[in-house]
Amino acid sequence: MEEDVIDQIMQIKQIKGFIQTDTEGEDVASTIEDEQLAHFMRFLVGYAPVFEKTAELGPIRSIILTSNKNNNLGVFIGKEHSLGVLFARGCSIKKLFSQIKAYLNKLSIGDA
Amino acid sequence: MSKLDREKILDELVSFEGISHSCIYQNEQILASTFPSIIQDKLSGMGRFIDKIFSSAHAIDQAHDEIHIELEENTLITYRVNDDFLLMLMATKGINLSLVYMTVKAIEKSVKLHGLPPPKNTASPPVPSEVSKEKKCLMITGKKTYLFGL
Repeated sequence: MEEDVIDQIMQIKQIKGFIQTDTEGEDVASTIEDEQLAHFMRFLVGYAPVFEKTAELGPIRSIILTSNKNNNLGVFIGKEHSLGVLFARGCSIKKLFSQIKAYLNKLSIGDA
Repeated sequence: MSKLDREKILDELVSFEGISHSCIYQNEQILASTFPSIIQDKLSGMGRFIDKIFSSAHAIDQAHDEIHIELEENTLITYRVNDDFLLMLMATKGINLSLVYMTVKAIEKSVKLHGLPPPKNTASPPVPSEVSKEKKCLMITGKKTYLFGL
């Protein structure tokens, strides 16, 4: 089931790679070859609870970074797993993320 | 950038439907804010957190200058303006991102071009001691404006 969902996410045209981690930040699956980027995505997943504690604005669902020069990236924070996604710059974030979230609702990641 | 300019920027941003609050963060300080007082003391911590994300991205040669932190009800959108200060906006999830993006780009350009406040009175001959004080002040402000975009 999980593999199917990840496969479906990877079928989205703008997706360039993904990394799925568990609660301890260990990779469950990954297609990201750039190890620094993979580290950065794991960092974002681990850093999210720090922000939650600092801001006291409730749980973080996702963190997205965009750029005009690099691919965009985002992490979806889940209770058991989190998913980092690398996607093409210039595409509609809203549209893309609603597509991804529709798939993530089938997993334990995301509940939007 | 004077205090008035900062407030003008924030006022313009919060005038958009979908943006409830905004603030400017630089060097571990909140320079201006429209956030409610109850959250004011948390803002610098949030700014530090977001600044660290930008710095970490830049450290691995990623030129990201916009972060969306999606919360339960809203999204905290932060722009790194001129590699200098952070513009943090609390927005609804359905906000028109292109509208905000273009406004921030215009602010970025404007701060770059008009960062220095214009001289108050160029016609009248200045008193030397006052002038040197004012110039010094302007030079410091100018340096900050040029280097830090404020």
